[in-house]
Amino acid sequence: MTALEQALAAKLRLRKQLAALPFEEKVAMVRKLRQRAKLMESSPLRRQPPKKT
Amino acid sequence: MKEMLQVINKMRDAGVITNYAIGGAIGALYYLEAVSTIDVDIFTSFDEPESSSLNPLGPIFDYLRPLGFGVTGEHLNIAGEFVQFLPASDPLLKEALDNAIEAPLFDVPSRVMTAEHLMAIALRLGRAKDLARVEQFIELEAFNESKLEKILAIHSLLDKWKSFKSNRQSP
Repeated sequence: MTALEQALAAKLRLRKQLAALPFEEKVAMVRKLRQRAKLMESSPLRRQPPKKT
Repeated sequence: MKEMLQVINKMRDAGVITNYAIGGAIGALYYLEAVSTIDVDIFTSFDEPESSSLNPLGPIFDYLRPLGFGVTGEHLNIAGEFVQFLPASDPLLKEALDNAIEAPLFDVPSRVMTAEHLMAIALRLGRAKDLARVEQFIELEAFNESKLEKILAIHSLLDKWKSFKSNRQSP
């Protein structure tokens, strides 16, 4: 197994562990992801620069 | 989330809806790892006179508005959760609702669609995010393939499944 394949297998193991968490913990994670998405959306870095004329 | 589930159970007990099942991303969350989503999809069934009306969700809004739950676009804000009520209006959705599993979520008896029905609905919708969810179910081995294929055969979705499987990349 190559290093990349090992890394992918480890990621999959972690995802399975995350999926096996209690529903309540996963809902808390969804809330954090939602907050993070909102922060990213409101970031000035995501705003379009004014068009040059 | 807990209060929202309690409100929905009360709504069922009051006869506003005959039954419900959590679907969409939050339904899938029961089986999969967390992904970002903004709302909770609640599929509902109604008594016949309501289901045939032009506004099948009207009784839900009429019940919830006096309780102080506001409407934001297509969503109801129930105790801080954006909830979208969707009528189980076709055979696949009806079957998904009838076969939903009973699960205590936040210590509240709740109904969640089966993994296989969530997959069948996602396959039928076919948007990128729906197909990504199907992929999650496959990668995490969180479904029963023979059960899924029986559902897909009944609802003429086997071709979509075969096409999806042939297009997906092996890990």
